[in-house]
Parts: sequence; C-alpha cells; structure tokens
Amino acid sequence: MYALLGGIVVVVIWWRGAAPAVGPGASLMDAGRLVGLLAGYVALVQVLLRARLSALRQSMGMRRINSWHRLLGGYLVVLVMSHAALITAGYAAQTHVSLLHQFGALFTDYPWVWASIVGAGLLVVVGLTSMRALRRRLGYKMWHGLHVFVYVALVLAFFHQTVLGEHFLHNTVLRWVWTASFIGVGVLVVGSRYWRPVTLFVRHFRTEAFEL
Amino acid sequence: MKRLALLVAGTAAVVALIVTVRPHHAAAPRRPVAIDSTTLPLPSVAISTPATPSPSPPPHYRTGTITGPRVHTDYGYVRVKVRAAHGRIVRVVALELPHMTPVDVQLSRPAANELAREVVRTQRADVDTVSGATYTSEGYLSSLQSALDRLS
Repeated sequence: MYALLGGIVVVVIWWRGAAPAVGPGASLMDAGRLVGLLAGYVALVQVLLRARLSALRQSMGMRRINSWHRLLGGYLVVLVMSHAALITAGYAAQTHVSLLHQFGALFTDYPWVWASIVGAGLLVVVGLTSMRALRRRLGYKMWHGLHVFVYVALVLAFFHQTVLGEHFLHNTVLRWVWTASFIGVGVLVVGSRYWRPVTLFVRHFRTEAFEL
Repeated sequence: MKRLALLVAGTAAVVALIVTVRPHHAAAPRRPVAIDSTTLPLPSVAISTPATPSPSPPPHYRTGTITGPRVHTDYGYVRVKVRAAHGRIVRVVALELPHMTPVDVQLSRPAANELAREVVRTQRADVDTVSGATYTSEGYLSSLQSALDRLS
C-alpha cells in the first residue's frame, strides 16, 4: 500500500515537475520520462525490500517481502526497457532519424546514457537469470553473485537521471531530494547488509576471546 | 508471472491515460495580430485615447556591432551578436546556442532564427519566447537586451 502511495508521488512529480514535451514525439517522450521516474522509484523499493530492515520484516513477513521482490524485479526490467524504447522513439520522432540511429546517438552523444545502457543490460541479465528455470540450472551461488551486479547497475544508471532528467534539470530541490533518497537507501543497505554483520562478528569475536 | 503481466498492463494503461489527459501547453500566447486599419470602418472623429496604449516607438540605435554576454540557461550557454545601422537593428546572429544534445540543437536553431526575424521586425528585445524553446529564448533575449543597451 505504501509502495502505491510512492507511485502516486512519482506521478505528481512528473506532472508538476516539468512542462510537457512539445513537438513530434512529445507524448512518447512524456510517457518515457514518467516510466523512467517510476523505474527509479521501483529500484529503490527493490533495494529497500532486500535491506534486511527489522521493521519491514516484522510488518510484512519474509514470505511477502520475497514475493513482492520477485514481482517488482520483473516489473523493474519491463519498466527500464519501456523507458529506453519510449525515449528512443520520442527523440527519433523529434529529430527525424531512424530508431537505430537515435539509439546510437543516445549512446555516444548524451552524457551518462552509455552508463545507464550498460546498467540496463546488467539488470536484464539479472532478471533473466532469476527466471525459475534458469536460476535452478545456474545454482544459488552463481545466481546470487550475479544479483550483486544490480548495485553496480543502479549506480551506473543514477547519473543520467540527475544530469539529463528533465525533472531534475530545472529543479534543484527535486534533484537533491532524488539524490538524497538514492544515497539514503544506499547507506541503509550497506549499513544493514554489510556493516552490521561485520560489527556483529567483531563483537562476537571479542566476547569469545574474552571468555577464552 | 500472471501478477506481473497484470501489473505491467495496468501500468501501461495508467501511463497512457495520464499522458493523454495531461493538458499540453498550447503555443505560447502570441501578440494580437495587427489589424489592417484600411479594412475597418474608421470613425470620423479622432479618438484621443486608444483602447490599448500603443507601444512606444523603438529606440534609435547607433551604428555598430555588439556581442552580447554569454547567458547561462539550464541547457547551455546562449550568446548573440547584433548589428545596427541607420538607427535600426539590421541583423541578429546567435554565436552560441545550447548543443548538449541533438534535441537541443534541433530545437534551439529554428527558435533562434524565429527570434532574430521577430527582433528585426519589431526592433526590440521584448518579443515573445518561442514555445518549446522557452529557456533558449529567454537566454537569447537576455543576451540581446544587454547588447542593445550598449547600442542605444
């Protein structure tokens, strides 16, 4: 339910945050921007679901967390692909070039878009390897190892959002709120998944040593 | 898989709906078209006060070429060069326009041409911004105004 609320906030940001696109391909670009913002938001939710937050575990339960993460994972891949397709189509219509040419131009001429395309590629690989049949064949270790690349993908994709994103280009406050939520979620997940186990281990080790 | 398909279909429907529903900017309000007075029945008595105050005559510019300052916009820098002769603006050229992305180039070049035409026609820098290129227009006209200030 809260996740849906966030989705509505994203739509409001999209609606109020920037003037609609104009010219040919305007609706494609507008839809692409909205889907892109939505993808960024869903990515944050995905990371949060896996951040081992005790509050979340108590209120949702592991079963529901897992099932949501699975559903939203597939959803995120679809959103990212649609965002890329819509923006490419919209820009191609605007500049009167072919889709392929436009995609190449996005890759080479636009700041940080190449990184986000690499990130999207990583995300697709992770998505594919999480489909049941493939996942079973890969084994847990391989699958889990690949899943860690999602963090790399999110970092790679982050920069094109704040550098090029129509909604962040003209609105400093919105840009900082977006950046802060990404950093915040990053700190949270590193803290609970990596830093906390280390400190727990160190504490345990010290106690053991003391008792010996 | 079924839930995912449902979620994706729902999202597609909602996105399509709100993109269509969202009001798009109509073209920026244009100046009212000058009415050809010869086609209108003219009153026989002179009207002392017109309904709308007529714009003051354009200033007299001294002859010369001035390059305006570089003006920063969200999409990049804009800078114009203006030439005046016989008291009138003769030519405005954009020396620099936003070009970070091909879309910027695609939008700002025609906008600059339209602004240049309009400026030469009206002989002032307070013309309407070009819709779809608002930021570029504002930067363009601001750079132009500074240049014109030094020519008047």
